[in-house]
Amino acid sequence: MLKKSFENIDLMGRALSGSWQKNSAIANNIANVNTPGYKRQTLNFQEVLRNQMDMNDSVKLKLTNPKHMDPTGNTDFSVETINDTSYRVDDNNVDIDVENAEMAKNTIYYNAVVNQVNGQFNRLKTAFKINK
Amino acid sequence: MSFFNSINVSASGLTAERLRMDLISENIANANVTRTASGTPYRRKVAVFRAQEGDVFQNVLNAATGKMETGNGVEVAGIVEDQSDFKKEYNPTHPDADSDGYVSLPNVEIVNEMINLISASRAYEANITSVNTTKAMAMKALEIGK
Repeated sequence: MLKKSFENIDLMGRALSGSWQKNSAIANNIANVNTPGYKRQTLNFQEVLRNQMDMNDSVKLKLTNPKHMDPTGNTDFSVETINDTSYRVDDNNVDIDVENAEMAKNTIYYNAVVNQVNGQFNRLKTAFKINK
Repeated sequence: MSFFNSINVSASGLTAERLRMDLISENIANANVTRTASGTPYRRKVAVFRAQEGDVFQNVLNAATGKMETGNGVEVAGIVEDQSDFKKEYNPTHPDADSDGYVSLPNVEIVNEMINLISASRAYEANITSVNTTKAMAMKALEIGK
């Protein structure tokens, strides 16, 4: 039972680190809002995390050979550059409104995950007190 | 990538936008200057921004491992002088007038400068917001386990 609950916290830790990295990517986009030719960066961490969560629930497929395909797809957070759009004549594709909205969303997400981690720890603490 | 990377990135944006604002102020202040050390009227100055690259080792390592990191912010690649034509004004009594009576005035358009100033100021604010958000997230992380 304990193992399972720490697994949950581990997963949320990954969510936090992905969210932190996404914040870094957004900050970089905002810093480069006036750089000609700059292309915005995003992080694909939420899809990766969803895959991880699905994997926790379902039967895991075992990889007996490193050349086997991973059934959950990519398991690493990766930074992607969106190269195929241009928002302005100077080839920059950072839309400051979108970035600000993304940043707000990301912060709320981060805070929510921190609250969940705290909740999980509090539940554990409560459980430890039962026989006292 | 360090813990404070996001704040450093935003700080680089603040530095760049502030420099841009400095140059705009300089352009506006010199909008009527007909003499400089080089003998020509004042030329409008423009900051050129460039996305900052990581250090060479990190770039090679990332290329080899196929991993991509988030960027390192922005830097000012250089300050260049706008080479467009000077404005001409007919004023034969001006000491810098040429033989036809025309004075060359700096190629500074006040309206353009004001628009760029607003753009720089808004971008500066956006970076400030970004620093504050990052700070709030870091403080929230410190609440874990309390």
